[in-house]
Amino acid sequence: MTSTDATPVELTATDLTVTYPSKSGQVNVLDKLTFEVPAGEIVSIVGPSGAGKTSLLRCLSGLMLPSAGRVEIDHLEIKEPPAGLGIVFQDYGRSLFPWMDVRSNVELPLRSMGISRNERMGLVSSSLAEVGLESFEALYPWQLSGGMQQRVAIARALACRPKVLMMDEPFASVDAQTRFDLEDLVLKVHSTHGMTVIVVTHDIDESIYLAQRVVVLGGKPSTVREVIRVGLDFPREQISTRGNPEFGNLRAQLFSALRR
Amino acid sequence: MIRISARIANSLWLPALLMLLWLVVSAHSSSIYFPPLTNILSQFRKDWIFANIGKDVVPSVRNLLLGFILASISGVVLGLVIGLLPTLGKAVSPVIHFLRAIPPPILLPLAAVLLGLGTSMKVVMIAFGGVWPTLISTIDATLSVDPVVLDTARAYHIPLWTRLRRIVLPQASPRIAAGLRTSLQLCIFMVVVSEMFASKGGLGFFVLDAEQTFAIKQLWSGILMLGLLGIVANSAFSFFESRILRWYFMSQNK
Ligand SMILES: Nc1ncnc2c1ncn2[C@@H]1O[C@H](COP(=O)(O)OP(=O)(O)OP(=O)(O)O)[C@@H](O)[C@H]1O
Ligand SMILES: [Mg+2]
Repeated sequence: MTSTDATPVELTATDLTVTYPSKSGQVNVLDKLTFEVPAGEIVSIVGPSGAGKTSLLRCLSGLMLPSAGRVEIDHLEIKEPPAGLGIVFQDYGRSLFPWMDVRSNVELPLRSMGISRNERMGLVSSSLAEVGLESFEALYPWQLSGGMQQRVAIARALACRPKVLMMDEPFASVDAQTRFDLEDLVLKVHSTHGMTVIVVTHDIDESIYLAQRVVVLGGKPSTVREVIRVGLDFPREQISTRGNPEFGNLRAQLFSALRR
Repeated sequence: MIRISARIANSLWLPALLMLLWLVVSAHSSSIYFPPLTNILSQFRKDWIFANIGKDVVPSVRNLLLGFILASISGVVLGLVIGLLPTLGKAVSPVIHFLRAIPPPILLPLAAVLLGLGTSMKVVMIAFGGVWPTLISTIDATLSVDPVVLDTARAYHIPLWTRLRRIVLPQASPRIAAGLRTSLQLCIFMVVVSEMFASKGGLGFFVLDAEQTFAIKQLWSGILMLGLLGIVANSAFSFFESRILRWYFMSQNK
């Protein structure tokens, strides 16, 4: 952790419930989810497609109020996006602004944080360097590949020096090689800055590889099936970590939790 | 250079061909209503290079610019406000549809009573006649700003004014531009109509006057001038649009 990094925060969800109005009354998507995300840990949330993962992340980030239950950050209930939030959305094509170049995209959130121009420039440059895009700052998002756009979204989050970084299926729509690179980027960023990280994914292997703790969602409506601790050592490495027998055990455990 | 000339040639061969056809077919015309194109063109030269430019073209162009600017600004500003406040939108929507349904020329006499016969009345009527497509497309574009974009703005605490100027407005801008283009068309229409009503100058007046004094060649030359003005106005619009929305066109056809 470097000196400019913010202190990581602890998150808790208590009886978190989400229902949406539907034609036939109400549809219950998330039912009384309770789990915690310790300060400075990487926690992944895994669940099948349509399980309500995006809804859950919108609640955890304060973008949406749950229908019942609560989300707390360091024991304070949140009702709107907290300060020190970095967020990466499922669909990078929609969350980066195509009318701004890469630099302006990363800089925009900093403009309202009351920091000097020089300092902003420094933060933008160092964040872009961290994700390996220092020479692309004058390009526009649509001139970059999907993986590079997601790197820009990560740089934008990093530039704010977040206390908590939330990512919604960040790598679901990139190719396998890019996905591995981006996973390692997240691990590197976490070891550099030490912020709390929440990653939502539908990929069991990814949820294990990235996290210290996996929250498994399942059922209709979704409930917390299990919270599994991942004891694999850091730093992790795509080939050896995934080849570790422990990794196989965890995968089997997760798989049966999801199937149950 | 060669590519530009090729593009111009590509888009101009048909108009050129039609002009040529007109020229040939009308060459020996003895109809008073359809004089030979050569006669119309020499009349055009007499009228517009540069005799009546000051009296008829300048006021029309000025009124068009002022009216279109007024329509654009009020359409975009009102559209943004209404689009951002859905409850207001629900209340305002029937009013908009009522006002839009009134053919604006009908309001000219009323406008004359309220605002007199001068430039300001014309400009207001041009703006009133032209504002609707811009207003409606701005409302629609603002209402349909991508929720992920709004989530991003909220998550990063982008203040309201920055959000409007740097996020909502740019995202809505391609659709606003489409509305503006239609508004421009309507404004040109209103320029002519407003000059046909108790007016002493302008292209509308010129054409009406030619018609009433049975000056058929002048009538044709006035119509040609109006067509030309329309083309120039549209090209100018496209010029600015392609620059301001460069990111949009480039991201669409990469
Ligand atoms: N605003 C909304 N109004 C009504 N229903 C909604 C809304 N948002 C989501 N839903 C419904 O809630 C369910 C869960 O949606 P959500 O997007 O949270 O799931 P997800 O796990 O992120 O899905 P995916 O894997 O496709 O990203 C879906 O059935 C969806 O149709
Ligand atoms: Mg989702």
